Amino acid sequence: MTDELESKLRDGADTLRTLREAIGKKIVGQREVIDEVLFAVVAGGHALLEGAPGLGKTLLVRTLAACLELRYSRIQFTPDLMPSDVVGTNVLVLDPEARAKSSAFTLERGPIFGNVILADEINRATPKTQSALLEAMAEHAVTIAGKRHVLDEPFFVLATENPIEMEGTYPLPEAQLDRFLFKVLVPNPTEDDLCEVLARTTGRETDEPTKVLGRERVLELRALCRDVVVSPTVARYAARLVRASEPSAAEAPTAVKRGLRYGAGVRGAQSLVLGAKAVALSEARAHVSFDDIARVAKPALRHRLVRSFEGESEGVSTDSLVEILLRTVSERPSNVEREARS
Amino acid sequence: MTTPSTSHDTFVETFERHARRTRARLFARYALHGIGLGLFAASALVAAYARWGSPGSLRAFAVGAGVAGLALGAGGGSIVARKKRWSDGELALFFDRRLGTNEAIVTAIEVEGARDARKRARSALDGAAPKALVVPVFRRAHAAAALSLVTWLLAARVPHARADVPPVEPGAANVTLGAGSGLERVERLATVPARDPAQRERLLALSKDAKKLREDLTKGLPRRDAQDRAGKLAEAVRAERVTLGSGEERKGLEAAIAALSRDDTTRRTAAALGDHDLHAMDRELEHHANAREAADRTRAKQALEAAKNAAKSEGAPGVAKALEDALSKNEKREARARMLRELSQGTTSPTAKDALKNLDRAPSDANAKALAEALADALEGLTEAERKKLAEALGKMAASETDPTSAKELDALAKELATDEGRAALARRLRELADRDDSTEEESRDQSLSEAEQGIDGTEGALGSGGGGERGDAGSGQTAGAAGSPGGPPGGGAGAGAGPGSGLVPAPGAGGGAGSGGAGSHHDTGTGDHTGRTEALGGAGFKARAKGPTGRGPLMPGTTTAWKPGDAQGTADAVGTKALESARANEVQGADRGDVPEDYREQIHRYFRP
Repeated sequence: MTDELESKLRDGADTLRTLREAIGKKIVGQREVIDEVLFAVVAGGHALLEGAPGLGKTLLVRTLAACLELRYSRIQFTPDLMPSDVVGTNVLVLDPEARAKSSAFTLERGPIFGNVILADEINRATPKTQSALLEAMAEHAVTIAGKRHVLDEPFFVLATENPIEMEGTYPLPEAQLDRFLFKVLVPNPTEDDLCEVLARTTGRETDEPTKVLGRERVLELRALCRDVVVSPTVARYAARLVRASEPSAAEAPTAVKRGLRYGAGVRGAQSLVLGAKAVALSEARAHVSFDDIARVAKPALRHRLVRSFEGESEGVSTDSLVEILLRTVSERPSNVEREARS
Repeated sequence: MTTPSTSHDTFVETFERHARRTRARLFARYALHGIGLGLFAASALVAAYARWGSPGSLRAFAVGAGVAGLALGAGGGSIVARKKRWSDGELALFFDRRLGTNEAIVTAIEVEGARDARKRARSALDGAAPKALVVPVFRRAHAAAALSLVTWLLAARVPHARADVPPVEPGAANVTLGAGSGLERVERLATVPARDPAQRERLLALSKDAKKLREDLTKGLPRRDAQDRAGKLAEAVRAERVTLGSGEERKGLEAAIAALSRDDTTRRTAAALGDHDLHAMDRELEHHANAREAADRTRAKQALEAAKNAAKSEGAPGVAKALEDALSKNEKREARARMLRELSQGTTSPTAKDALKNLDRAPSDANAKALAEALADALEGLTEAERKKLAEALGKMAASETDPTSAKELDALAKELATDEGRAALARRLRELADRDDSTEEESRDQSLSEAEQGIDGTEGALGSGGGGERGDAGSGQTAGAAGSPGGPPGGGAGAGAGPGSGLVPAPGAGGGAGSGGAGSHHDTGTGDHTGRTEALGGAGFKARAKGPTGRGPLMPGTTTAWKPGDAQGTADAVGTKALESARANEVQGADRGDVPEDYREQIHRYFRP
C-alpha cells in the first residue's frame, strides 16, 4: 500500500512536471508564476494574477487551458459587462415545436459554464458583475432565474488584473479577493527571458501546446493533493502565522500591528495548508513541511492582508509583511531550534 | 514487501533509541548545569566565609558547602531536567531539523496513518550519521563550573592567610558596669576620718576618681582602660592601709608580732597584726574581752601590753599606738561584759538568759549587745524580787566602780529602780551600752579602707581582672624574703598570685638569681632587686641531631614523628590532641590581665580561640 501511494505521488509529481514543461514551451521564464498557478489548480482553488499589461498573464492561462483537456472560457471584463453575460440567461424560445416540448424559455449558459475560466481584467467590471462570480467561485454553482446550476468539475477561475491603469476600474472587494486561493504576482521578465520572448514571438507561429492531462486526471490530482497529510505541529505553524497577521493579536509583530488593519482569516489558513499540500505533491511527498507552508505564504496571504493607513502611507507591501511574519514566527520551539543549530 | 505494522514497529524502535540517547544527554547537561551552579554558590560561600567567617573552621565549612552545593545542584539540575524533558514531538522536530527530512519524523510521530512519512523518517533515522543527532552535553557555562570546582578545592585546601585578618585588639571591647560595682565603697572614703591633711586630700582624690570611674563604666569604657584605672585605684586604696610596720617601723612591728605570738591566746591576733589588718585584730581581741574567764582576759591583756612595749622599744610608735588603742578598747569591753553579766544574774527573762548563754559560748561584741538589749526589754516586766536583785547588783557595781561619777550614777540607778522613771533610765543606759561604738579612729579608717579595698577588688573582678593576689615586692636574694600572704578577695578572673618576692631559699653564691616568690600580697614589702642572672652557657658545646633515632616500639597515641603540613588556624598542639584548644575563655583572657608583651598576648589569642 505504501508502494502504491508512492507510485501515485511520483505519477502526480511527474504529471505536474510535464504540465510545467508544456506550459514552459509557450511561456518564457515565470517559473514561480507557473508553479503557483499549477499549485492553485491542483489544490482546487482559484488564482488571481496581477501584473502589468503584456507580461503573459492571459497567455499563461490560455496555455494552461490548452494543455488541459478541459472546457475553456474567457470573459473579458469591461465596465458594461452584465452578470448575465457571465452566468447566462433564459431566452424566449421562438420555435413552436421546441416550446411545445419544454417551455417558452430556454437557458442560454454563460461563459461561467466551463472548466477553466479566464476572467481577464476582472477589476474593470462593476462590483455587481464581479459579484456574479462569487457564488460560482465559492460553491461551484450558479443560480439563474431562481434555479441553481451546478458547474462541472473541475472548475477554477484564473483572473487577471492590471495594477497600473486604475482609472475606470473597480478594485475587488475583500470578500471576493478572499475567494481566490492564491494571488500570483507576475513580474517583469529578465533580460534573458525577454530575449527569448522576442525570439519566440517575432518569428513564425509556434505549434499549439499539447494536451497533457484530461479532466479525470485533474480530478485525481486534486484528490491526491487532499490525501497529503499535515502533522498537527505543521498545521499549528500555519495557524500561528495567520494569528500573527492579525494586528490585534498579542503575538503579532510590531510591524504587523502598525502596517495592517486586518489580517488573514480562516480562508487564509486553509489556503496555506492546501497550497502547501500541492507543493508537497509536486515533490512527491505525502506530508507537508514547514518549508511548504513558507513557500506558499506570500501567494496565499498577500491578498488577504488589509493594510492600515500607516501601512499604505509608508508604502509597506503586504509581501514585506509576510516576510516579517515568516521571520518572526518560529517553526519549532525555541529550545529545539537552539539545540538543532548548535 | 514490508508490512505496515513491522514498518511502524521498526520506526518506533529506532525513534525510541535515538530519543533515549538524546534525552539522556540533555539530562546530563542539566545536571551539570545544576552541579556547576551549586559549586559556584559553594565557592562564593567559602570565599565569603574565608573573608568574614571563623577562619579556624574554614576547611570543614568548605567541605560541607561543597558537598551541599554538589548535592543540591545535582538535585536541582535533575528536577529542572525532568521539567524540561523533551516530548516526542520536540525530539521529532529536532531530528527533522538535524536530518533535513522536511518534517517527516514529526509527521510520522503525530499522524497515525502517515505511512510514507514513517518510511521516510525511519530511513532518515537509520541512515543518520552517528554525530548528526548528538546533543552536546558540555557547554561553555560548564567551564565556569569547572572553574568553580577548582576555586572551591583551592579555598578548601589553601591555608587561610592570617595577615588578612586584623588581630583583635585584646581588651578593646567596651565594658559597662551598673550600680553595685563596689566603687561606691571607695567613694565613701571621702567621709572617713583622715590621719592627717595629706591623707584627707588623697582620700578625697580617691573618692573622686572612684566616682568618675563609676560614671564612665555606666556609659561604657574599653576593658583595658577600665582595668587600668581600677587597678590604680586598688593600689592607691591599699597604699592608704599600709600604716603599720612599713619602713623603719618594721622591726617594731615584728617585735610586737613576736610578743603576741608567744601566747596561744593571742596567736591569731598576731597574725592579724602581721596582715596590718586592725579590723581583724580587733575581732580577735573582742573575743578575749568578752570572755567569762578572767584568766583569759588577763593573759590577753598582758600579751597586748608586752607587744605594745616591744613595739615602743623597737621604735614603732605607730604600732604601739594601735596596740594601746586596742588595749583601751578592750578594757571598756571588759567592763561592759562584766556589768552585763552581773545585771543578768537576777533576771528571769528567757530572752536575756539565752543572750547570756550566747555570750558565754561566743564572747563577741554582738552577743554582748544582744544581752544588753534583752536586759533593757526585761526591765518592763520586772517582779519585785527581780528588782531587788537588780538593785543589789547595781549597788555592788557602784561599790566596786573606781570612777566616782559612774559609781554615783550606778547608785542612783539602784535607788530609783523602784520607780518607772528609774527603770526607764536604766533601760536607756543599757541601750546606750548596746549601741556604744568603742572603735578608735584608726580602726574606723582601716575598716573603711578595707571595705573600699573589697569594693575595688569586686570591681576588678567584674572587669575580668585578677583579684586573687598582688605582686609582692622583690625580696633580697641574700635573705629569705617574707612570703607574700594570700591576696585579697578573689576576683572574677584568674589572676596570677605569684610575685617576684624574695625566695625562701637563700641564694648560695654571689650573683644568685632571685628565688621563686611566695604568694603575692599587698603587704609584701620586700625590697630585693632582679640583678641576679644565670651563668652564660657555651653554645659551641651544644650538639643537635636532626635525625635522631626513634624507638622501634609503638608510638604514643597522637605522637607525630614526621613533618606534617600546618593546618590553617592550627594550634601549637604538637601531638595532635587539640587539647590546647579547650582553653577556657577566662584562661585565655588571663593574658590580657597579665603583664606580658603585647605580641605575646596576641599570639595567645591566636593559639587559643575558645
